[in-house]
Amino acid sequence: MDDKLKERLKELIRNPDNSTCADCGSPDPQWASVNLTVFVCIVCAGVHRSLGVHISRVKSVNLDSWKETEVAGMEQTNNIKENRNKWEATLPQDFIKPSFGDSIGLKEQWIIVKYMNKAFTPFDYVDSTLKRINLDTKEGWIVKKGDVVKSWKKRWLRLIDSESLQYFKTPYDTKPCGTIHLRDSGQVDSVSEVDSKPFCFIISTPKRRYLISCSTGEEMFKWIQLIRFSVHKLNNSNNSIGNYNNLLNNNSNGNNISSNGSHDS
Amino acid sequence: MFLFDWINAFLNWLGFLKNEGSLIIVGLGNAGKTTFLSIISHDILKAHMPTLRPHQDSFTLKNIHFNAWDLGGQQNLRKLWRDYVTTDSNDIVIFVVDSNDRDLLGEAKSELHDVLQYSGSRPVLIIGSKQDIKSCMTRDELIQGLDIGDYVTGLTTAPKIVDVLVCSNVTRRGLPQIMNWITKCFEIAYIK
Repeated sequence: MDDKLKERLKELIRNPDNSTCADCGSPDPQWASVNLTVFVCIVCAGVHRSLGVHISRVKSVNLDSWKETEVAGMEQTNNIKENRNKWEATLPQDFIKPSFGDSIGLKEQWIIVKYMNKAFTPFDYVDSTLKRINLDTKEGWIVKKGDVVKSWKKRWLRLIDSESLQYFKTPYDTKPCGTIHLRDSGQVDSVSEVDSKPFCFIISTPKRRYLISCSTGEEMFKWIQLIRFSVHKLNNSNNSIGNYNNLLNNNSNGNNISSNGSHDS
Repeated sequence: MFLFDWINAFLNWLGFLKNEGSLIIVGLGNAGKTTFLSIISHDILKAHMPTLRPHQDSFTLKNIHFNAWDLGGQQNLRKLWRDYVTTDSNDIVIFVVDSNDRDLLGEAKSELHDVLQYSGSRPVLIIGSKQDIKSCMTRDELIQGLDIGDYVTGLTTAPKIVDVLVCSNVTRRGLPQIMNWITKCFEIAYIK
């Protein structure tokens, strides 16, 4: 690759609008998806590569050779512009984007929903593979690992008043089998396969760590987003109490707040 | 797999496991080299970050202990391939090609022909990966696209063994055939 192209690429990653990964916000992305025209970090590049070249063609800024047309394509736009106008155009205002501290499992689902399903592209965007996501669902089937008896049980999980999750044996039951209070909960993130159950995530509360498995990656993504949003709202509305638990929670939410901020700008 | 390694080392010491081979896995970026190696050595399927430094793994197939080197495929990292390929004498070179990437087939072709040149008499297996995607190229298309019709002789005792096999790391279709090929080829080429 000739030096002029290299210099143009270097100039592109020096652009402040390309200073963070388009997907997780980690600083200094050194990789790019040539066809999606975004710069991403090495971790997200790994996820992009797993989707296949028909969805994302990944190149390294430093290690690969680039064609003139590819560099020109990247010059047309930048990460902020591309997200705002296309990939995250219809993302809800208060959406908490996954950040670089999150697990790779969550980033994977986020990237699939964002680019493969094109879930947040503008409303006038037409594509036969487009699959919107409904983020308003507040109940559904999950499989949960027992506390005392360590077996997996199918449960109907429901979010109640953005404050607690309750799980039932059937959707028609009125008396829950258990309640998860979100006010004190800390980490909510995906974890790697447990007991060969797919798409697992945990909800940590001071009393117990709940392990939940979903049938699809999208379901998992939706639950994690929903729970994180509720926790975030609860903690923000209760800053005046300021007990030790709250301090801890605010700490773990630091990433979320900053990623939210960068989205608004 | 500490225990297995230990048993292998013990058998090796007794002289039962004498055969040692190495696999050098090369190919363009995002062809599926790291995924292939992690499946055959640990049976783990996941999305890997791009490989920046060569990494090594080992596994045993039918009494042959293989050391596998997984090398990065980005353009600047390809300079390393020659060093690894020409170090050991009983290597099998594996060249992984993304069966869906028609745009980069030409680039893969020129890199492959370089490898075929400097690998000397070492066997070369070309693996067409990602066969689970519908629009993938078949074995014949790969042979034609990579222009290696003259080399592909099947498993004979020709001066240089070159073959093409296709697989999917996701569905694992084609992997048993690749394993068979590797052991058989090793026996033909290095155990007389």
